[in-house]
Amino acid sequence: MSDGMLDREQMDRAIRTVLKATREDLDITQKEFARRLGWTQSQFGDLEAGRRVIRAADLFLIAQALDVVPNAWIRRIERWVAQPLDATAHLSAMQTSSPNQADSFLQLPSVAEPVTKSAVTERERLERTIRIVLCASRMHSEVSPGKLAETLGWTRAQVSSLETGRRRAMLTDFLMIAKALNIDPIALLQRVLRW
Amino acid sequence: MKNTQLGRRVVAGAFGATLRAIRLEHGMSQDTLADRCDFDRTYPSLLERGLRHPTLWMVLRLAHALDMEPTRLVIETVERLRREAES
Repeated sequence: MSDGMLDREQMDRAIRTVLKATREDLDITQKEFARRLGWTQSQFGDLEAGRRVIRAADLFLIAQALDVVPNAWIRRIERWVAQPLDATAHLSAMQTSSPNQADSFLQLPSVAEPVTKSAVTERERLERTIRIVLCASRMHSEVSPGKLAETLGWTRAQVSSLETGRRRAMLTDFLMIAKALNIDPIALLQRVLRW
Repeated sequence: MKNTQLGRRVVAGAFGATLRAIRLEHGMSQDTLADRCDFDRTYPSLLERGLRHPTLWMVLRLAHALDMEPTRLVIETVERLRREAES
């Protein structure tokens, strides 16, 4: 892609990525967001997953649902799009990664090297660091994903979602995992920050 | 292992109270905090009242906006949770 121009598909993907990240940051479920839009949950799910075309009117409706002026919402998308192009490519690669990716990441020495800023946005880098530290700490404590799930009262799939990035780590998740692994949460946070 | 189960609401409440205390200590308004983090204006208020539960990334971003060590936000939240569990 020349001159940093995005094609329609990349632009659509950028909008969906920003929408999902914003919704998750604000801790709004798909169900709640759909309700605010006056849609069904599956309609909204289709939009977020890229199975439904995003119309101009949708962008304004989403801004309303987020309770922000449309400009603020569009600015977020702009900022995302302004990231180097390979960030988008990297993100889509991460999204299609296999569930075992986090484990195989850890076996590679290259993971310890800081990811360059041009390759991943700061946020994605940090989210990835959180995942790696959580996964590495679990392995270091010799706790299997199944055992961790059991201690947390989660399903195995929930642990896997967190470690592979399909689910973002909430503050509670972080504190619960620290407790389950018998690690001081502050020490665990410091590991994330030092990475 | 009953203690492993931390309710989202309990954590959100403790985090909200901590955030509010620290924000006031910095003499920062909710609006300024919202601007600095590029949130909508209602969000800091929702967080402080424990009505929204933050992602870890969000916690770090708030700490950055408040110009403080991210660990302090978490340390104080954890301390608050401990005090609440004891009382």
